[in-house]
Amino acid sequence: MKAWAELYRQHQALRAMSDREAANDVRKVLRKLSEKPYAVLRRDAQARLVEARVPHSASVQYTLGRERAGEELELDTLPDVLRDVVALRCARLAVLLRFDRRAERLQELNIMLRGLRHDGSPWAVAVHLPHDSDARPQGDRDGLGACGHAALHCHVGPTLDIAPKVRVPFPPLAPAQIVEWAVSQVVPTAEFEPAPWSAVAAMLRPS
Amino acid sequence: MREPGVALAGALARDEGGLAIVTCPDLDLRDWLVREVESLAPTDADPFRTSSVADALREPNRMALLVPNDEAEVVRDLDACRDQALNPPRTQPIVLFLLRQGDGHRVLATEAPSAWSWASGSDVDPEKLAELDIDAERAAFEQDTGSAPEAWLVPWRAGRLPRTQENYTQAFWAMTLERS
Repeated sequence: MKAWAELYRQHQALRAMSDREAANDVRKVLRKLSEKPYAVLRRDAQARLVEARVPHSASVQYTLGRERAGEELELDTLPDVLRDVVALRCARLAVLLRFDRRAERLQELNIMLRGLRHDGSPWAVAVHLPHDSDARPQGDRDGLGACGHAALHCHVGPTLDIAPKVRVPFPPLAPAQIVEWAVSQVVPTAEFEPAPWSAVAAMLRPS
Repeated sequence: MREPGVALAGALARDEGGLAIVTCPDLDLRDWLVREVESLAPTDADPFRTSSVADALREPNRMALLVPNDEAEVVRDLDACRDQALNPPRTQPIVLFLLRQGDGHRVLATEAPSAWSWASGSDVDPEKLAELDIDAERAAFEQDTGSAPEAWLVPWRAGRLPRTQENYTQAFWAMTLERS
């Protein structure tokens, strides 16, 4: 019980962030993902993280893609060396972030990747942090509890609806790191690995 | 809606090695917009910050983020130095940050015809562009889904719509547009 309560506390603490800083961090990840030789998003994806502000309110949101429905990963044009390790033939990445700019608070996060395997069967991964609006009586406490339905959680499965609906509790990572993580699951290349073990080992060594 | 990031990136890319002007509502936001341009710039643009036109001209192959201490002076300097930006030709733009209704814009409009034409078409006010036109967005939502945002959210909140990526996206927008 204590561990789950502590995780929930960490998810609450994660929400404290500046939208501009968080968006710039996401843009840096998108830029890396859209630059050659391993461009998995169309060029200049960082420019397509679209900011939209609701007039006369502190609400501001960021979505990926001109049509706001996310962007297709360019899996066809990956270098040959990666073809065998990419298990999907197509995939679409969606990023939906909502903030309260005045309170410097992340209100809602949805980072989703869905696609088709080479045999045509569907596959999806989706990280959600529900809206913590006062308008929702339960706030961000969906489901039965902080174990079965952690505030920041990840669905993995053929679709997001097929039972059992797996909700993996997610560590308190910022939006940029979650985008990195989602793409790393689909395109497993050292070029997209933000924390290679050699670098992690170096950081862990006592100085 | 014209998208701020796309407009900014378009202004940076429109005229290779040209002059792009980013308008900032105030000094505090100027710093954020400088960081936003840094995050938008391609890695090979190798952006750097400076307050001096001379420094910006010295680095034709890097994106110069020109953040003036004295806007009017910097605009006059740019007006006088356009030829220097052509020889050698720049491969990366100079991005000039000016305050909305500040001295820089005033001088640009009244005393700096060369700088004005240099930047022509590459000026952008991302803060203004980011504001949603709620009526237009609601009309687009209704056309797309056949329902007003509030009506669409009823079955979604009751768990009667499939939890697909597309529906999560629609729900996100419906919540933005719903009227309380």
